[in-house]
Amino acid sequence: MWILKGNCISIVGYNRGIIYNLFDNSYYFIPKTFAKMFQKSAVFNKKLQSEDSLNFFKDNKLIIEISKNQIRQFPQVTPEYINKNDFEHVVIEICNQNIETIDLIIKKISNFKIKSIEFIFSDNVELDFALTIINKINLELNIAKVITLKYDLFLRISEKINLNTIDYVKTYSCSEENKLNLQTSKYSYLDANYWKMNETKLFFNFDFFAEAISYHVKFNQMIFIDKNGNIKQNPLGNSVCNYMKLNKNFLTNNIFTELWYVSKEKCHVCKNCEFRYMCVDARIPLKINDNEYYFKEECTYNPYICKWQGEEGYVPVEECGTYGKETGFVPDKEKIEKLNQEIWKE
Amino acid sequence: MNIFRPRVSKTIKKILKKGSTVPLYFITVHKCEKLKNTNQKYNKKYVSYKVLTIVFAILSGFNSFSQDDIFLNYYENVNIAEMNIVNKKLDSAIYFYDLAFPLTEKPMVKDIHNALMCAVSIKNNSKTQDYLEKITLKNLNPNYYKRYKLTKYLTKNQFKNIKERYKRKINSYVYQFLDSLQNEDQKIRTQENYLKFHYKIIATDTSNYNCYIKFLENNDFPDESQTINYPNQQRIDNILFHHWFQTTHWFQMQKNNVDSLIIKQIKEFNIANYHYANFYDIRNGSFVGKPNYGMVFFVKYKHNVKLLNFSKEDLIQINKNRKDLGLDTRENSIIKTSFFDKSKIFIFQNYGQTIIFSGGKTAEEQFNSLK
Repeated sequence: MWILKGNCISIVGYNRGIIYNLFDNSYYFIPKTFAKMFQKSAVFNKKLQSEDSLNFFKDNKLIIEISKNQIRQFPQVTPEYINKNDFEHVVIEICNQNIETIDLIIKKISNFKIKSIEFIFSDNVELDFALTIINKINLELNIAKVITLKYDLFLRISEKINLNTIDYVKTYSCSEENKLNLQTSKYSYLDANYWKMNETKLFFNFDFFAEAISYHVKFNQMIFIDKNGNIKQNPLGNSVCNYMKLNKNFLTNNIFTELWYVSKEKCHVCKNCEFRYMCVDARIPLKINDNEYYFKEECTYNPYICKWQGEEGYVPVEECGTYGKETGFVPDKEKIEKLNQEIWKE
Repeated sequence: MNIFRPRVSKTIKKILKKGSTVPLYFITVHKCEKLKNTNQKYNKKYVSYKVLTIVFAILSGFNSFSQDDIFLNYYENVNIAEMNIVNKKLDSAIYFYDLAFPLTEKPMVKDIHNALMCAVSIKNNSKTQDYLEKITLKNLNPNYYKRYKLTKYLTKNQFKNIKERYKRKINSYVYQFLDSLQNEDQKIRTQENYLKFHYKIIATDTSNYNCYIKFLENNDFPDESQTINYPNQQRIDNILFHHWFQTTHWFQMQKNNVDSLIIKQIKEFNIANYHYANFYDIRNGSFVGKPNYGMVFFVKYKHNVKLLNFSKEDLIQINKNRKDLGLDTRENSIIKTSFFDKSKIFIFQNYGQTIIFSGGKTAEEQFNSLK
C-alpha cells in the first residue's frame, strides 16, 4: 500500500487541495478528492489509485510504499506552534518624537520577550534622528530588527552607516526603476497595493505553517505603538492604552489580544482557501461572533474558482455568494458550480 | 486439500512478484518437495510446512520490500532536522526527528543524541524522557550522561540500569572480540613498522579481516548498541574497516561482498550511512581521483585550511550518490560541519570531514597542489 509521507500535509480548499512538503517547502495542487482522502487518513485509497495519480505522487516523492503492519511507523504529526514570546512582533511608529520618549518605549518593551521589532519611519523624519534611532536599536536590542522608511531616507542612511545588523528593510515612495534593485531577501518595497495578496507573496516554511494553523500570522501577538505612544492591536485600531501603562497583565486582556486568536479557519472565505496557511494577509479581520470573522476588503484570489485577479475567467468573490454584516460571506454553491464549469471546461 | 493448494501457489506468486522472499520460499518449498517425494503428500507435517511457508513468506516479504524507502525516508527526516538545528529551530528539528524515529526500532545514536539535546535546550521534559529512553538502549558509557548533564533527568534506578547495561556490553563476547581486534590493529601501527616493516601491518590487517569475516558467519553484524560508547565517538570496529578499505583488501572484500553487506546493514540501521561513504572514499581516493561521496570537505596543513572543491559535473554525481545513501548534499553537509564543529552539544558525522596533512615537504607540496 501507499502512504503519504509524514512530512507532507494535505489541505482542502473549496475547489482543490494542496499538499505541502515540509522537507523543501514546496507545494503541489491536487484534486479535492485526494486532499480529502489524505486528510482523513494518510493511506492512499486503492479506489482512487490510477497509473497517473500514483506516478504524480511517486514522482514528487510525496508517498512511500509500505506494508499494512508498517502503518504505525508513519505517524502523521501536525507541526506544533510553541509560543515562547510575549510578543511576536512589535511595531513602533517613529515621527521625530523626543528621543527620550523612544528611549522609554524601548526600555518598557525590553521587559517582554519579543521575537521581532519593526520601526516605521514617517516620511518627515530627519536623517540625523533616524541615524540616532538605528544606532540605538543596534546597541540595545538583540532581537530580529525590521525598519520601514522612505526610499530617499534609506539611501542617505546607507551612505552613512552599514545596515547589516538590520534583518529586513522595507522602503516606500520608491520609483519603478529602484524597485527592481530592492527585490532581494533582505530588502523590499511597499506601494499602494502592498496589503494585497498575489502569488509571489505566498510564503511557506515549517515555522510559518505551524503558526498559521492556529493563528493569523500577521496579527498573532502583535502590538502597534503609534507616534503618540498609544498602544493598538493594529495600525488602524483604537488605542488600548499608553505605552507607560503596558505591563504583563495586558497579555491576558481580551480586548488587547482579540486579534491574536483569530485563525484563518475563523475567517470567512479564507477558511475555504487552499492557500490559507501560506499567506500573510494584512487586512484586518472584523468580528461577526467569537468564532467568525470577515474582511471588508476583498482578497485578490478567489478560492471558489481558483483564479487570481487579472487571470482569465476571474470574477470577484462577491459574485460567488452574498455578504452580510451578520452572516459574513455565504457561498452560493449553484452559482459557483456554474462558474467553474464555464471557466474550467475543456 | 485440492482447494487449498491453488490458493497457496497464488499467494506465493503474488509474493514472488514483490521479489523479496525468493530464498526463503525455496528453502521451505524444497523441504515440502522432500516430504512430497516420500509419499507423505497429504500428511499433517506436509500441510504444516506449506502453511509455514506462507506465513514466513508473507511476514518476511511484507517486512522487507520497502526497506529502501524506509531507510531513505529516515535519513531525509534526519537531514532536515540537522539543518533546523543549524538554523536554531529546535522545535522544528524535534518534529522531523519524531517523523524519523518511528521508522526503525534502532534510530542512530547520533540522531537520538541530537534530538535529546534539542529537547533539553527547549526544556521539553516529555520529549527529553522519550529520547532518554531511546538512548538508554544504546548501552552508552554512564559518563556520557554526566558529561551532558543528563543525570538530573534520570532516577537512581534508571541510572543503575544504564550502568548495568554498559557493563554487560563491555563484557559481552562481541565487544571483547572487536576490542581485541582493535587492540591488535593499533599495537602493530608503530612508526617503525610503518617505515621499515609495512608487511607486518598488512599481515595483521589480513588476519584481523579474516577473523572478522569468520565472526560474521556465526554472529549478526554488530549494531550501535554493541559497538559505541559515546555518540561523538566512532564504532569500536570503525578503525578496522578504515584500515581494510585503505590497504590491500580490495579483492578479498569483493569476494566477500563487503560493500553490499555494509549497505544492507545501513538499511537495517546497524551502522550509520556516513561510515560506508567514508570507507568507500578512502578506497577510491578521498581527495585525489574521483571520490564517490565527497566525504572530505576540508584539508588542513599546519594552520592553513582549504575547502576541497569539485567540478560542477562531479558535484552533481557526488550529490546523486550521496542521496542514494541517504546523505545530505555536500553543500549542506559542509554548512553542518562548520556549525557542529563549534557546537558543544550537538554532533554531526564524527569522522572523515577533514584531512590533516602532516610531515615534511611532500605534505606541503600536496597541500599546495590542491585547488
